[in-house]
Amino acid sequence: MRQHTVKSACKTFFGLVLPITVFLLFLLFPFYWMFVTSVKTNAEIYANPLVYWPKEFTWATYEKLFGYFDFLKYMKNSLIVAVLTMLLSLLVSTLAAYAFSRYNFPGRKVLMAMFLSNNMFPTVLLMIPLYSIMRQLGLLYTPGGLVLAYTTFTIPFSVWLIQGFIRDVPFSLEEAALVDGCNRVSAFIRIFLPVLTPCLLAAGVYMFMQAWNEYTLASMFTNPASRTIPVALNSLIGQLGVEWDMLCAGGTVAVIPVCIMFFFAQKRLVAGLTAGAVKG
Amino acid sequence: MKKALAILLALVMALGLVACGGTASSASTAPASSAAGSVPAADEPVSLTFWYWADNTEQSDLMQSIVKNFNETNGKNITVTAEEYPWDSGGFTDSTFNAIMGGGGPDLSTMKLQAGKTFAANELYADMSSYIDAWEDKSQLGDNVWEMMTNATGDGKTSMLPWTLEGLYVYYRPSYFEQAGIEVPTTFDEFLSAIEKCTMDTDGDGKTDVYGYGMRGAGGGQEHLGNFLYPYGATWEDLTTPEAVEAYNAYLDIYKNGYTPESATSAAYAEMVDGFKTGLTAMIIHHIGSYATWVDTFGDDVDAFVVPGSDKGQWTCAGDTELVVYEQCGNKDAAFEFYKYMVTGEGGTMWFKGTGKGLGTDNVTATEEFKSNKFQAVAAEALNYAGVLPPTDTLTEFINNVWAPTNQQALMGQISAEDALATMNAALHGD
Repeated sequence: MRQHTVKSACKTFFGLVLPITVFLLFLLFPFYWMFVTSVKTNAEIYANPLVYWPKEFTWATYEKLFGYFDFLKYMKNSLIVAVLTMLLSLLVSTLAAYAFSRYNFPGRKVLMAMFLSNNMFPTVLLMIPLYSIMRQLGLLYTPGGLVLAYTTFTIPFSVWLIQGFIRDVPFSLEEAALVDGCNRVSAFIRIFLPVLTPCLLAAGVYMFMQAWNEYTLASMFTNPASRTIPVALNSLIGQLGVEWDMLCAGGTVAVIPVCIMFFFAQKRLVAGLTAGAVKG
Repeated sequence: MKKALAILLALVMALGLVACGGTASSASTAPASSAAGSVPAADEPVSLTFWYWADNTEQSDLMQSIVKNFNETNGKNITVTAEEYPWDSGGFTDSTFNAIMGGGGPDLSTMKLQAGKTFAANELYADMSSYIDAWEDKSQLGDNVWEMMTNATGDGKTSMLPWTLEGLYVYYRPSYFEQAGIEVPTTFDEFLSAIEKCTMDTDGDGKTDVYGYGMRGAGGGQEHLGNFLYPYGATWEDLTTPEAVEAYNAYLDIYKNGYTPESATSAAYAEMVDGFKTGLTAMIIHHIGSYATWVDTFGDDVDAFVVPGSDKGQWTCAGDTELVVYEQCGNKDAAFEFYKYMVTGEGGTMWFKGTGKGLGTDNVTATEEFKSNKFQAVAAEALNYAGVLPPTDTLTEFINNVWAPTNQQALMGQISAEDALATMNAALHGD
């Protein structure tokens, strides 16, 4: 009996605990290293051999980041852009996905194909036309310009994502609502949207992260006043050197909002991503 | 119902646009582009937008203070708005190009010679030849400098205006040289020998802990290859000659013999610098721009010498930064005023004092900072042998996409020196 228990414990340890621990180490070490570098002194950052645990913690880098570098400004810009992108994309793609799933109108398939083909073009190809459009609209160097630019790739993806989910929701649900006195709009809002919540959450997190981390378009469509976090951090990588302490401190802070979002959305996010996968 | 939904959707989108625009305009503090807004009248205020990159936060502050000083002192009602954009490993030039092609962008900006032809081919640069010819301080810069500028665009015009030029030279650690029992090399063979001897096992554990040379095998490393080519009698004009192969093999042997860290295959500037800074390497090739870092790190235990040549030749690459005025700039007189201030005026002096970089003009050489800096003398000597890679149409392609992967393959022995050079030659000269 005892031998069996030991054998089982060994099996669990080598088959589950050890691989997961190694995997987690592999996954989390870059984050650890980023944080540790941000609290090291300059001498320890460049020390040879490497210093894995600083002898002396310094928060001076964070003081410089939030004081001199005004990192909060960039965080605010990123937050505005990411939240607006998420809201606008969710609104448009939910309605579009609903129309594509529930209505049969001429050109439906062509439009869906166009949404898909949009993702086939590299972002860099869109740079000059988008820049020109933003300039004409007076949206250049504003959060609005960036939001619109981001929706060019978040909306098509989300339409497909949400549409797949809607298709799995039985039409009888809305029929029942209509029979019970709802009109189309109230059936959509009161019956359909609550069912869609996990899917919308998954799509929303995707959109937020895309907008939060995007660099290429942000480097073109922002100026020093409207700069977002990825571009601001990139400016710490110069032609002649990298400010590792500031870069790592900025990276550490930039990860926090995404982590918080995941923490709260995790449960529903998984449900949203796997929804429809096992339905017959 | 369909109609209601369609109207709702249209309303939402319209509201979104308005909301975005509203938020945006309140957040925007800088003009989208002043190119069209400049008024070429002497007594009217002139606004110019200047884009630049900075290598660190100190340089950002310095540039802002230089521009502020210009705005306060130029006496011609010229206001320059300096906007910083990330260097982004050279992506700065792409962003500027895209912005101008999209109808926006700055009136003038910092630039690199290697991007000269792309901009010139699209007629984006203003021809500043007449301004330069009439400039009283033109003679403070050598003819070779002006020639370099003209060659960079390939259209015979002086569109790229020199701002800082830094010849590459060797930084070394005297304490390592002492440990290895060697003197500063004066010939190229001695240089190679110094690399070998400075590769040391200092703690006796059987492993190398100091490498003779911090090779930059990836991004930007092509500049250092020139230091090897010319002492063997090869040139950039033809990389397929036996001389070029011999030179390249000498370069590859440094890696193959373990005289440079194994990470050299992927080492760009940051990796090279980190290796030297941590004491892992005894020598690196770089220009005056990094001297302050080394002095801060090593104190007296850092010195410099010009990369030696042989009786067959000597060459070093010039790290360059230019200022360019764009064709869309509405007031080129004002733009040239700013350029003069940035070179032989107070702006040039301030930039030199803050970064150690300049063109060796009178205002720079007269400063105490120039006279008392031992690295400036080496940098000035290096400029005698300095040049740039041939400004072919495909130079950017060679630098960005061909050099690093080809050199990596050659370093790792996946392709021969001959094949690697043939690939590079074809990419560089567009054959």
